Amino acid sequence: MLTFGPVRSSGTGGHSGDGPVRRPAGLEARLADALVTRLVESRFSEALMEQILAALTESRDVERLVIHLLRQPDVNGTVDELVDQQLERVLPGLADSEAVRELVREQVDLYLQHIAAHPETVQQVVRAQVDLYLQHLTENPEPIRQLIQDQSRGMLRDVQATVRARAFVADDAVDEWIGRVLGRS
Amino acid sequence: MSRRYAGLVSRGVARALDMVLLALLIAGGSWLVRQFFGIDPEHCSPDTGWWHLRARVCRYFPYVVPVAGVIIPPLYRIIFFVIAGQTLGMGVMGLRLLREDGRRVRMRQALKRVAAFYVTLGLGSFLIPLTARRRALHDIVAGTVVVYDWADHATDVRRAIEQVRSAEA
Repeated sequence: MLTFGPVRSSGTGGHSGDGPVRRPAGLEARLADALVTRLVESRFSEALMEQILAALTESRDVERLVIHLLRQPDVNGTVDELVDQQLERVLPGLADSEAVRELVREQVDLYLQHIAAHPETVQQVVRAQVDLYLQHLTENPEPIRQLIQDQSRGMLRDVQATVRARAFVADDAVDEWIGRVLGRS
Repeated sequence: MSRRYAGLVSRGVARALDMVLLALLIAGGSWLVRQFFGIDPEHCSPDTGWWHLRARVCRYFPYVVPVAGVIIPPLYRIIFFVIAGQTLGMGVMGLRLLREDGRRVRMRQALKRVAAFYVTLGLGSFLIPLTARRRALHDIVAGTVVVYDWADHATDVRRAIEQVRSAEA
């Protein structure tokens, strides 16, 4: 396991041995930068990073840690926020995108062709769903019964209101007509 | 609460509905009796059954229907006026019979009103558009008025009235 010591970026000097040794300002930082750059650019580092990443990917501990972190309310909220932000940014573009439309069109065409070529698949699905619904309705007929009753009552109520309204208007019309015939105001 | 008095058309429709209902009731009752006793009034056979009941019903049946047609309608009106303040037809049209002072109708007013209606052969109804409170002759005799009473349907009816009026305009 490799360990890296702290890298000082300031040039105040460091402690070595018994007492402080004065070095030119920024020398340690420049040395550290040079070392890190060499390390990063070296093949050894590449292979090492790959190994580290592979180990991390396969590690159960890391997985558990990520899950644990994601379950934290503040982390979860932040992730949601990030995803929302990205979606808000991306979705308008997608909605107007001709490429996406073309993709959807292609997919729909593909599906339609598939359905046309294999109608039995759809029939099976529909039959299964219809059977399911029918079974559900047979087991729970009350909502449907209630719905039909409400519908009938509503229609009856509308018809009744219309008949009453028409009769009411006709009452006034008859009175007006009689008034005109008799020369009343 | 201000009440609006019901006019000739509403009351006429209510009466027509009552007539249809009574006709169905009498015709249906007559059919049920014939089915129950298994009789044909045109071919009454002598019967030796229990108190000659079947033969008697068969013999008097041709008179029963017209008599029922005369007796049942006024009885129906009187009973419904006293109990509910409206007949079924009036209920459908949203009308209510009240005394002049707005109280419920009693047996006395109901009897007077029905009697006056039949004595005048219903012709007193033509006074409805001519009188101030849309009262027919039988209303004046009995001291009653007929008002609109739409109860919980009032909003629906008012909306429908607006629609009818806007369609006519």
